[in-house]
Amino acid sequence: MRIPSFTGHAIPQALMIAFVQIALPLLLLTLPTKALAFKLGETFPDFSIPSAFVDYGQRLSEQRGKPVMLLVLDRCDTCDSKLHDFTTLAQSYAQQDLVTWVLWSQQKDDQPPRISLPVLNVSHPWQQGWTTPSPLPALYLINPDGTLEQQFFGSIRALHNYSQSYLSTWMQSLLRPQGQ
Amino acid sequence: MKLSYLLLPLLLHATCAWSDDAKVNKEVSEVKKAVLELNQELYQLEKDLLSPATTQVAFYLSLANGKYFEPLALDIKAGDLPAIRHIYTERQIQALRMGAVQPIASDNIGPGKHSIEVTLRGKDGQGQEQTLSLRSEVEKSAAPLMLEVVVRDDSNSKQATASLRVW
Repeated sequence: MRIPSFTGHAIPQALMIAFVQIALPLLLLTLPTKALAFKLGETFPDFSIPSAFVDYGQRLSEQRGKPVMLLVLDRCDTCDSKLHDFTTLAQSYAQQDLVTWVLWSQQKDDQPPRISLPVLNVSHPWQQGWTTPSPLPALYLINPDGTLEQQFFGSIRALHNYSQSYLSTWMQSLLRPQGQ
Repeated sequence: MKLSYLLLPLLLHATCAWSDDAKVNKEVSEVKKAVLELNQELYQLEKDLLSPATTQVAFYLSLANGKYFEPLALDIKAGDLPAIRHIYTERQIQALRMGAVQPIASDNIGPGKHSIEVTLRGKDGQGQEQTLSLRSEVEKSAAPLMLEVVVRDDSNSKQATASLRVW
């Protein structure tokens, strides 16, 4: 039996069954199950995450009054070299009170990147309040009042480039007294 | 002269209106105060109903010196209660070092004997990972149960110990 299609050509029944039984479930599985996105201007959800090393954890609400930059990595096994430019960029704004954290998720025997920025382990079972967003990698800029200023998605290189141009304007606007 | 005759009633009216406004404002602030007091009483009532003294349990943590151990994460398992976990930040450790007693959590637990397990993950004086654990059995009576996890340095062994203090 052949099933007529919209194009007028007949589709073999076996092909149709194969699509419904195999390809369609696979296609559905590849769709992100939790496409979580944070809204600009809204308060970024508070979280408390332990360090990926033997170090202090971090809590977002403790940073109220300071701008915060969060780099959420996708899979990374000692990806130190990938983060070199980003680390340099973050350090150049540290004197202006910019707080930067790298959020890393452990998969299998992956090791966290050894960089000078705090690296937090979001896959630690004791973390509180954090839900890994999609897609990854992602970069979040959080205002001193805790609201989300901007979010970027893309490769680490792309995130570095986006943030480089955005940071200079954003940090200057934060330094400027309100109303000017 | 005629103008002053015209202005006088207006001025009097304005003064009366101002005094009425002040009266209304005062009444509004009194009502607000009463509502706040009522809200506070309701909150206390709700708290007493949800967590009466007979079932109340509270956990605290203190750090004496912290030379040989700094907590980074805490896990408490008490009876059937869901695990209580906390991640420490640098600021919190600074506060603990200054003598602060940290209220960790409060919950409800039935009267009788309960097993308490505390696991503290942290770093020793050399910055190496260290875990302090303690297991204890406490008895809950009709009075509220206050438990304090005390982390204390032992200068003889140059190590820290964790103990449970019942208030």
